[in-house]
Amino acid sequence: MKSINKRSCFTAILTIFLLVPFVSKAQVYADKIIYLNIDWQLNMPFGSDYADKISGWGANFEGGYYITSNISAGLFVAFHTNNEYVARQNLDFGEGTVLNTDQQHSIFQLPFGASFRYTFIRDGLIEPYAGVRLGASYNEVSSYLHSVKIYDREWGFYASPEIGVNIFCNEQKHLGFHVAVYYDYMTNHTALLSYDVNGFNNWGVRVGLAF
Amino acid sequence: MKKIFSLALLTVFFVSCQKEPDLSDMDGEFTVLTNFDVNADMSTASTFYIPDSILLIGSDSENPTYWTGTNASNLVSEFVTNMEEFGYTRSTDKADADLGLQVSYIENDHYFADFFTPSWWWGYPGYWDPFYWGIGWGGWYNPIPVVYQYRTGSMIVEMVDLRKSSEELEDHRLPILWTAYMTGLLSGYNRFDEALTIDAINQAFSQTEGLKK
Repeated sequence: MKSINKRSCFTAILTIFLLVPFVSKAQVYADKIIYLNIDWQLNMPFGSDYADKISGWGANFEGGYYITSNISAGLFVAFHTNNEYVARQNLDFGEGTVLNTDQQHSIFQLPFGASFRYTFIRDGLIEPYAGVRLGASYNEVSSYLHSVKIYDREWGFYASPEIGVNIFCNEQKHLGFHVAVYYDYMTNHTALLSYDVNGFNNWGVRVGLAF
Repeated sequence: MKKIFSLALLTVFFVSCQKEPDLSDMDGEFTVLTNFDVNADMSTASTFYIPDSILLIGSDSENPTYWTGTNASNLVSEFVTNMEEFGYTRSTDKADADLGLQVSYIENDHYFADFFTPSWWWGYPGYWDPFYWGIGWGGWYNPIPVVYQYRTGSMIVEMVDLRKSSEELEDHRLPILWTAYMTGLLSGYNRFDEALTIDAINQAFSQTEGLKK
């Protein structure tokens, strides 16, 4: 039974996109019909000034079933928190109302729904894919003012294209590594103090295990 | 039913994964919120009255408890200084004053209110009564949107308009022209906490330009 060590896996992760066209089509298990990914996430919101600082406080869980040899459908759930300190300032709400404070801004995002993948190569240890995820997202936008937390929680639709790769360590594909990069958009509209976030954009990286 | 329960449990699990920010990164100064009635005409107000003591909210007693002594006196003096800098003169007789300042301090953190809800402290046992400012007032009238939530170590200041008698106002409600709410974490060291509170009082005045005579 062939196996590759961890170092080989790491090397493969780094060079995957260069190597994909040349991957040897060894006779490994291509008939595995389910997959599971558990990932740590690095996520960065962009497009608004609210808590748009990159953070690693998140995780992703996804499982799927191969409908055809290359196309799979599944379910996912992920969560992420991004925090950012905002220095003391006057927030003028108009009509004579002014708030002077520093703040800790926070965004918590909890998307879940259906996922679809097209896996380009199934008969190798390395399975590159492109996917799309659709669903709903529960987002909480918060501002911490020392002992007071002000928040707005809203639901929205979620859409996310993603490219990634599963790198298995043995032919049975019982265990491997998973790397993906993604962009996502959520339609949630939150309003808090003088901040209005209408639509959430994120990009990020997922690194984890593949089963 | 089991499935719904499991789903709810799963949802709670994921929501609990939220990472709270590190509040030790914050500057430690008080948060200061002020609401001023932009329609108020301050040009005709000249004098103000402020009691020498501060009402304590949240004490166990059903009767009003007042904070006196050096700390309270220093805080009251800070209000007086700021009011005088804004062009007003302190009156020793509230019957002659155009404006009244009532200062309260919250000792505990069992009170909570949503944004834009009426001032909950008006119902507190022993809270300032409109009758304190004269006979005939039937309650408070606050035209200002109130936007707070509270926790421990909070000070509330309300400025009432005494220029008209209760008979002159249709609903007999005493108008509140300015509200300041200051809150923050307390260290437990009196001098340090007093300095924080004094900074907050000064900030409350400095961010309310309209209050100037």
